[in-house]
Amino acid sequence: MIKQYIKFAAIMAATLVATGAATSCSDDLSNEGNNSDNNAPVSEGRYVISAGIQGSNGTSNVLLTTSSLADGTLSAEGQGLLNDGAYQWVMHGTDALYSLNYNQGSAGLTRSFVMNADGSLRQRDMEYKVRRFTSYGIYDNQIITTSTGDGPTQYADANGYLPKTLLISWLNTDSETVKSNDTADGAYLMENFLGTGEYVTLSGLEQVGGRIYSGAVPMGLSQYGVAADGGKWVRKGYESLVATADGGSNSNAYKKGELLGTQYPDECWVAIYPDNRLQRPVLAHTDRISMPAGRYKSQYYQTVWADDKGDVYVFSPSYSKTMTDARQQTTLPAGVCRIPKGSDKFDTYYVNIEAQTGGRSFMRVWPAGGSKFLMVMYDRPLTEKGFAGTRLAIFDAAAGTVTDVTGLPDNVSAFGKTVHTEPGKIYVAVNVTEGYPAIYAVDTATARATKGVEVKATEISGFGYMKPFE
Amino acid sequence: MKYLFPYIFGGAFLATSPLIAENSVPPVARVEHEAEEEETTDLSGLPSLPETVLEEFTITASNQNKVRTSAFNATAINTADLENASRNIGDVLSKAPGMKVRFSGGEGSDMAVSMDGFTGKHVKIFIDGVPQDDAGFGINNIPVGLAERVEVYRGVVPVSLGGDAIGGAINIITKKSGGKRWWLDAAYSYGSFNTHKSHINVGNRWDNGLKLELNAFQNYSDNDYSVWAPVEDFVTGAINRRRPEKVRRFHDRYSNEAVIGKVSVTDRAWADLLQLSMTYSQMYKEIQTGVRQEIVYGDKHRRGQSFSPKLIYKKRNFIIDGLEANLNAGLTRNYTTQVDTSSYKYNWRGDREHLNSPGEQSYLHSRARNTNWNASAVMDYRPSHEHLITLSNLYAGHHRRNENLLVTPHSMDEIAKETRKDILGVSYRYSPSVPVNVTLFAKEYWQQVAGPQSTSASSDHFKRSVRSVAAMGYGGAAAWTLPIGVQVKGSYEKAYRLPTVDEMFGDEDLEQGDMGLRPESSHNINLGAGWEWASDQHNVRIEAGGVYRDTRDYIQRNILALSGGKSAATYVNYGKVRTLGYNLSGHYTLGEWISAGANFTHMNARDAMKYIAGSTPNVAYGERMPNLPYMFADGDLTLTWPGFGGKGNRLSLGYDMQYTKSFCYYASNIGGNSADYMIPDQWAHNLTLSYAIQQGRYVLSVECRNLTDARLYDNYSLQKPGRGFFGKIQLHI
Repeated sequence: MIKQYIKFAAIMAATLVATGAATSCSDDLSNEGNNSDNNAPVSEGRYVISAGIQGSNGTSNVLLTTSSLADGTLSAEGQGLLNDGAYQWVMHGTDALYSLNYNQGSAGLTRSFVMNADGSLRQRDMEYKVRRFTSYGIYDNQIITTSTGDGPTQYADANGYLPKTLLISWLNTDSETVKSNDTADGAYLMENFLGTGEYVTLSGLEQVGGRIYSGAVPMGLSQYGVAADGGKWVRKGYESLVATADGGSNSNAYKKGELLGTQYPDECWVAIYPDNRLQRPVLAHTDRISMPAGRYKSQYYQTVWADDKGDVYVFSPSYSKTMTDARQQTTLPAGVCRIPKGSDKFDTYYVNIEAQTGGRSFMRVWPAGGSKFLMVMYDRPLTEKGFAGTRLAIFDAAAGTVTDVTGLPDNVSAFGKTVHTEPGKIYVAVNVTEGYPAIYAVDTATARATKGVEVKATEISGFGYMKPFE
Repeated sequence: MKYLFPYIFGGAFLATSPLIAENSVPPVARVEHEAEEEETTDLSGLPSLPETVLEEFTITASNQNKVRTSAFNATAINTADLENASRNIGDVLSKAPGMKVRFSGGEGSDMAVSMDGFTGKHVKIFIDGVPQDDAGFGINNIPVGLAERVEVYRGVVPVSLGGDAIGGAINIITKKSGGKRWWLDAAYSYGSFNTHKSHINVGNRWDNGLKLELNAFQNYSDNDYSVWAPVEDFVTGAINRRRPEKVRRFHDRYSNEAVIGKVSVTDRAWADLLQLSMTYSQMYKEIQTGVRQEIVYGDKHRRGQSFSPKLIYKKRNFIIDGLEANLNAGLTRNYTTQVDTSSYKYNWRGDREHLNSPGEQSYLHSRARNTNWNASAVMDYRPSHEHLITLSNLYAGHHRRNENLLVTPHSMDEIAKETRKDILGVSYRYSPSVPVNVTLFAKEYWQQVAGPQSTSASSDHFKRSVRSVAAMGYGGAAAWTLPIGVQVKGSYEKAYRLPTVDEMFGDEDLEQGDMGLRPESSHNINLGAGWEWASDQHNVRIEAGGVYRDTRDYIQRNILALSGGKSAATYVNYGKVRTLGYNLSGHYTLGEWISAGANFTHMNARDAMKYIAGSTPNVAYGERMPNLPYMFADGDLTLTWPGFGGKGNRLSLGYDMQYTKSFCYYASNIGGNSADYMIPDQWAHNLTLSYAIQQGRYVLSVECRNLTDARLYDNYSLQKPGRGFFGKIQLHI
């Protein structure tokens, strides 16, 4: 009898919780789901969308605002905040929107934008000269950018080769200041990071509690690394991989005497830093998946993410299948492993992505709330020519399943570089080969995408939710 | 006539030319491009000793007139007007209708020429008819005194200037010694911002036709002028854009030096002119700012050296009567070294602080090794006075490899970037009577580029690949001088610009090139009318011109590139622009005493791309082209007192000004704050006082530039020099 009663009470409670959750879901549609203040009324903030408009012989960038992502059309004609665009748009909470740029190419300066009380946007007064970066992340009131670059000249070897070192900028969003790390401090050296002699690039900076988890992507041996210790880091039988002349360009530029790409493609390393100084990491290792970074050519995307519980999921697309030399191609399929909350080690969790997708891998992945993730999928296996990241899938980490997202247009050219999550939903910008780009809401339970606001522009380069500042 | 050509050139050459082989084009020929004649005829030359200055003036004017009365939309600017000022060729160009020259800073700074709304790659620059691709020196450092005049061809370019340019061409004609036995021209100027400039031209001609000539020039400036700029605070790392400070540029030194030696043989049975010249030039340039003034460097610099031999051959009645041959061949070796190895960062106050990684922008010490070569032949055939047929061919090549100097031993690029092009032109000019002339022409463009191309999605392996592209352009021009003294003219060209190596190959990574890129093309139409009236003392000249440009297939970067959806073709043929513009010019002289002139240009260049990618409306449709000056004017007034201080002396006071209407850096219909990105209205005023002694044998002048000390910007945020004073002394013996 008592048992029955308890059962009934449990069912009632569950129903209440479920309906309550559903109600709050619909109420909170337009709120920043990741944030603590879920009860704030809609009128307090607005969505901000960054759009690029390509005219004949020139591109203009503009920031637009709207109260809803669900429908409508936005136009930049005579409205919005014209700006110099961004290499990467980053929302810091709901306070500030940063246009991260580094001093290369056209604009060069990093700037930040806040919302006025009337919902319009303004550029803050401070601008920053930030060094080139390949990864970024948010840590409390900071935006941290990192890249692996040349160390100080006092570390040059006899050939003039410089060791690779970690270059960090800490942008403080409250004090509006920026600081760089002191690379004379040997703690930032990236040479022989994994004990294989190779240097690494950090992919993603994921704050979990006070720690930072980052994919440690081995890049091969730098000129310094090849020459170091009498050349002992070049594996036997791999000598022909050392470049004999300069080539490539930009991020893929390689120099004579460099070994481009790792000699250990079947391993995955994650650097776990105790705090935001990014020194003395603990390394977590597994050989069930390949390198933890989404790739498109020389671009690296974060694939180390925590779910809502604080478990860290590590995704590898096995992009090194595209390497030219068989010795540098991974034999492992794209997959997911896990570092449980608080641990320094991978547990036994493993999901083979390719087994569920007909051999297709992914380009990017973002957390979508709960233990769900949104993946940008390639349209065909990496071993085929001409693959493009034009599809989406929902990955359910708890169930270990990959579900194709339906409801997308069939002429997707690219997805935007940022997403926005709300309970049960993740929003993503969809650029199309014909027609205007739009924001789509993907229901994480059903993997169904619904078209929302359309922007009269060539592309949507970023978006998020902001509240008036101060 | 056509069978004559094989005889001259050899069949093989002609067989490669579809124009001739198919014989589908009307026979050809030539523009009023009379420049070439100067070397061979004393017409253009300077008479012997005493009467120098006046004679020079008349002769130059007549060459100017030839260009002016041609059916092309051409202007010849006489450099003599600016010779007393301490300026460069770029300043001279600003005096041509439809032309706007934009400088990023002071002496030696980057310069962008815009012609009827076309800029950069769309406008080709020639020196004495030889294309200047990547050469060591250019219009931003050649002293005015070295050029006799500058010819500007807007939209329609004569076949004798072989190049692919949809906007037009600029041809700098260097000074010729003419008929003098020996001569010496020298000038030195000194002025604000520690600017020194000098040039010397000395030569001798012997009775047997041998001629030796030496030219040398030099420019130097610290460019340490003041600008208003926000300053980076090293404690906070922030630049407060609302608090600009008046600061002095501290890392903008520029110097260049050049020596040109020429040996010529003239008036021989086998050659009217055979000339061998050697040019050596070097430059050093400090880089003070990036693309925005907020970005400041303190150590980054570049230097370069060029060595360039050149051979010219000219002969009238070449093999057969009435055929004139102009043959040119040249080679340029150029080394440009970029240095960015500093371990410090700087702010506008000149403070510096350690960087965590060397390189102010990007750690670099590399030398680009460029080789340019070209060979051209222009054959003019005049069977009778009424007919002129011109056949012209230019073959040019470019080869570039980079050498990394950061390491020992230096390393080299595995795969060079190479360009080869051939431009063949034929034109026919018919002038049945003095007031009427008609020209028809066709050009065949061919280009081959080679460079590294990534063979895998990982971009870990590259191979050399080769691509070719070809196009055929055509056009015509006609002029008619009415009995009332008004000349009317019209011209048309379907012009092409072929994609460059970088556009075809992208940056070998994210910006992949596209094999299918089409050449940029434009339908260019010009209409013009001019009227001239002269009496004993008065001379009035009024000209008006209208231009229409319908440009397609602009080659530009696709902004979706970095999103990753596209796996290739991030340079795309995108965009249509329609330009409708006009310009008005007037000039008046009163004897020797007053000379006044003015130009006004309005270019309405609008985005004509109605739809992007199929049926999606283009938001910027109908908008003015961004970052392009569209309304500007210049004017000048010179008052001369002949005989002041003695017979044969002259005192002149010259005033000139430039005006540019404000324009937007971005498409001005986008966003609610386009005013933030406006380049404001610009007025620049200059004054020159000069005193010429003994018919101009000696000239002393002083100049004040930017008289009102206005804050001048040709480019968004990059401030140009404030008020400056310059003095100059010249010798013409």
